[in-house]
Amino acid sequence: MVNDKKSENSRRRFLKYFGTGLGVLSIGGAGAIAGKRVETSGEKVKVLTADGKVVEVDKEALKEVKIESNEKREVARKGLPNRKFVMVIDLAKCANARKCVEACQEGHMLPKDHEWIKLYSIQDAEHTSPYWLPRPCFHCDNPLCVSVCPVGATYKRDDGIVLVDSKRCIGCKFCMTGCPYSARSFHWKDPEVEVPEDNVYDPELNIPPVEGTVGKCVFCADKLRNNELPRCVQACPMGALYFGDLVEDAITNGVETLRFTETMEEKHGYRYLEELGTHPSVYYLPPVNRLFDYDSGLEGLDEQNRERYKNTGPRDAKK
Amino acid sequence: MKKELLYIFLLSLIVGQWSFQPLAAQVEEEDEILSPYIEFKYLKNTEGQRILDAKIFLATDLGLVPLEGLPVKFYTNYEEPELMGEVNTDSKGIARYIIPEESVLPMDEDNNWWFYAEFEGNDRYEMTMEELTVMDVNLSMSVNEEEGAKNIILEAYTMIEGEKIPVSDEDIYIFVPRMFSLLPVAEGYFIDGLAEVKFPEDVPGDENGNLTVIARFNDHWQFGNVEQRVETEWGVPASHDVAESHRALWTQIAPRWMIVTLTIMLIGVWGHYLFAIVSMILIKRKGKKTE
Amino acid sequence: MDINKKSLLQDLTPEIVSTSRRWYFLFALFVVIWAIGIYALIQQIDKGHIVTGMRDNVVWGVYIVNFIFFMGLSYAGALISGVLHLFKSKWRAPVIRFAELITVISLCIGPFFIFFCIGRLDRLPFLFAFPRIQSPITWDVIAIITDLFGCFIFLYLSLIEDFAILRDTTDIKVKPWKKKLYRILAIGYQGSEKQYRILSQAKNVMAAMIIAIAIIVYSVLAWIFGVTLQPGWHSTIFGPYFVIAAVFSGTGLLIILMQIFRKIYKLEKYITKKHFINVGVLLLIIAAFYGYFTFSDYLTKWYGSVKMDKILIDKLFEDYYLMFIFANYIGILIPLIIVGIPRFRTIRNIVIAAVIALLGLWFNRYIIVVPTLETPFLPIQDFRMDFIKYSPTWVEWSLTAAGIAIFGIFMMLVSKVAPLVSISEMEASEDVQGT
Repeated sequence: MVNDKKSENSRRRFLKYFGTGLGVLSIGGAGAIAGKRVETSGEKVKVLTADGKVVEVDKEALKEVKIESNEKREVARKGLPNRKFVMVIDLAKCANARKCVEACQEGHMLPKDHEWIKLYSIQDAEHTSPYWLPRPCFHCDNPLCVSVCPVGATYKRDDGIVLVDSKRCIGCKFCMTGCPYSARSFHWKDPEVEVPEDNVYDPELNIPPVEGTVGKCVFCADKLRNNELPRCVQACPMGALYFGDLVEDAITNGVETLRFTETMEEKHGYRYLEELGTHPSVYYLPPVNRLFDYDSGLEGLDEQNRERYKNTGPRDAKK
Repeated sequence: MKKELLYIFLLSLIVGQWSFQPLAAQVEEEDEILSPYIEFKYLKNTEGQRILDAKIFLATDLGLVPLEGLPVKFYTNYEEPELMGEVNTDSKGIARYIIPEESVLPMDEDNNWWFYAEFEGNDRYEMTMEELTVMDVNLSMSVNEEEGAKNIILEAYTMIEGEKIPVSDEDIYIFVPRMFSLLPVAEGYFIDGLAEVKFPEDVPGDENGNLTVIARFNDHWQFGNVEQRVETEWGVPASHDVAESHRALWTQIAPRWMIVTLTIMLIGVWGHYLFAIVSMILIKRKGKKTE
Repeated sequence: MDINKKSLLQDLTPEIVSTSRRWYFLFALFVVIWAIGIYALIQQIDKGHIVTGMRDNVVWGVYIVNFIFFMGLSYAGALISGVLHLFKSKWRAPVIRFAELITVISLCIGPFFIFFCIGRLDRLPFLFAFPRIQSPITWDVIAIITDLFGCFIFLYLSLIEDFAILRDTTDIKVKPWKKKLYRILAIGYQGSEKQYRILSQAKNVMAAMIIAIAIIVYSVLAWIFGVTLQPGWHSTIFGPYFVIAAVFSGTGLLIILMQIFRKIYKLEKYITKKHFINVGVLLLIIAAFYGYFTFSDYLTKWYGSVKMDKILIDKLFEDYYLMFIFANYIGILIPLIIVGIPRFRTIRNIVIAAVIALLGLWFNRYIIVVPTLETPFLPIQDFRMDFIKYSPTWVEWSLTAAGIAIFGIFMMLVSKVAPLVSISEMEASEDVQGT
């Protein structure tokens, strides 16, 4: 059965490449045709545009274009214009509800043990209080993971988002040792997910997961193209995750919208391990005036998660 | 003998019915009907269109899930509900009904309109409905810039029995549209139908400074959502451009000094290899000569 | 000592003339071990890297340790043979060929361990199709290829004279196909003055190059770790530290090989106690340097007690206590004592010291790679034991054994064609000695 799967895989791969080649040719062909003057037939068709207006278009001018994977991969390397995305996490509101983890896993077809956004229980020192720290990928402005990738499979876009191209990753895992925040995960075995029929690989959504490659939080770049918030931000029941744009100077958690610069000033936003010089794009608001106390994060956890937070005091505590 | 067989047959039918009953109940239970929620809002937009938005969603473990394709009926007239229209919810779970401009809506004794949105339910989802009372308010907005200060002048009035009643003692908020939502930037207060708001100086716009300014009664208990939009150039020009030629450790193109150093080292080393290979060729040649 | 050319030739080329039964037996043993490794590799390719012990935190394990270890042996061999050649030390003759062979063979084995660690082997050509110059792995790819070429050239240059001798000799019976091979490989070298001059000039140039390349290339490998921010890796002395450790391991292996082949081929006449002591002194000096670097690294980490450094050192002394003591105390002190004190300087003891040094250095690599990955900046909060602590599986151990077996296989195959002790060097040194 394994052999069948392998030969099917190689057949599938061949067909994909063949199909991609044909697709590129056809787009090129379509482009060539589109470049020419289009003959009008006089027949008008009503079309609904993306911003809700109804327009009338000549029928001949409409052409359905199917976008192939390689085009999507190239488009994914260029970010959204004039944006610099940033996330603000209010630690005063995080209660380890773990809805962010579940929404992320659901949206990206991840196995249950892959956590692109991870929740840590941190206690900085003996006399400081513990708190819950959600840690997505920080999409650093000086990303060590990107610097060390030998094949350019991971890259930083102009809008600040760092993506991984699963079709180029060779699985050397250098980026995983390069990241000081342990933000990346590796697919150690075949994830065995059912891929939707019409799926075209897009690094912005990054499904399906590919065995032998690295995956990480992508700030849901696919949703950002539709002006929608990332999945974790939408899923958080406490509204602890805010997402926004530095250029626009606004962040929102879906319910309230704030000015980024004001929030940083009033609540003393900071970045985690600032001294490492990685310049993260995720800011934290200190856990003061907490809405929920630390212990509420331990309630309702299943056995496995309770196990993982057992020994979490200060790391260099005198034993 | 035949009679007994008949009795046995009838008995088995009855027993069979009994044993099938619990199965039927099981099947019913599996097809449990879910209860969605409905969120019903009124919006009067800047063109004066009156819009009713009904959003139907489910509360699940993974958060709120919008339901698509469910028909929502919109009614008005508290005394005698009349059907205005029926719209299916879209992919975001929102059924939007735009009240035709020419429709004159019946008002109750408090001069409010009454709206009612209902999803009648189907075999998967239970029925859900919501009602809304709205008082119509006319909002107008004008902007001017005097001596560098940016002012917004708002006027609002309601019509009660043909008379203009100015709006007093109400808050109004000034927003600017951002990528995912509206950002509140200023606040105004209506006194005698008039509110003057000063617009802040430091709000980022697009790269040319263009900015849409929105004045809005936001989820107002009486007026619903009423907004007016004006295109201005009041934004601080803001853009984010990383030059293609930017070289760093993490860019596609390496810093120049790296490329230069690497090239020099490689040429140096492989040059020596070339020397060794040439030596070997020379040895071979000399060997042939002596032979 | 009466060593004439004929007996020299006969003593140094037993395997070239005929194949003993013992050779076949040993070869078969190595092939079996190698085959088990191949089976393990197939399991890994089929089921994915989940069959190894590597998980999301310790993403580099035994494979990378072996990679560093074998590359270290290689560069050490390069350094030793280069230095010995340039300094024209009188005693180098029987030893220098082993050093050159260690260089080339280890260099062929090392990169395979990297391949085992790569998740998508089918995309290996991407390293050449889409290289990023800023990545230390790209530097390493370029460096390894450069070094491979250079070491091959150097080995070949030093073999030319031997091939010429084997081509011309009538003192031993060489099979006809081998004679033909020698004729081709000797590229017409007659020993004439001009040829000799060209050859020795080329050898000198390459020897100097090899030393430089070995140092640079191994430093590049060290910088793969050094340029990351991980506690324990982000050390400024990693470049020189790795080079010293490499030479230490290479010297150890050299001593071991000298003893093995001395015993097998009865080369006691040629590889004498003097040679063992000389290489042993090299071992001692390098051990002292290695100990100095290790101490310096850990002293500064411990004294400054930066939080992450302290956590790492605590882990080293708790979970990796035995390995740490063996690698950094026993592995240094035993060679120092044995070679340092004249009473202990017997061949057998020196070989024991070499074995301990070699093992100690493998453990040293292990405790450089693995504990750092087990103590990341953000604590590992997991419920799965295999994600918290790294434990290598049978797949990784099988492939390690296969790597060692391949080393043996290559040595044995080379011994069929080329003499393991350089005949020309021995002749030259005898001339020098004026016998």
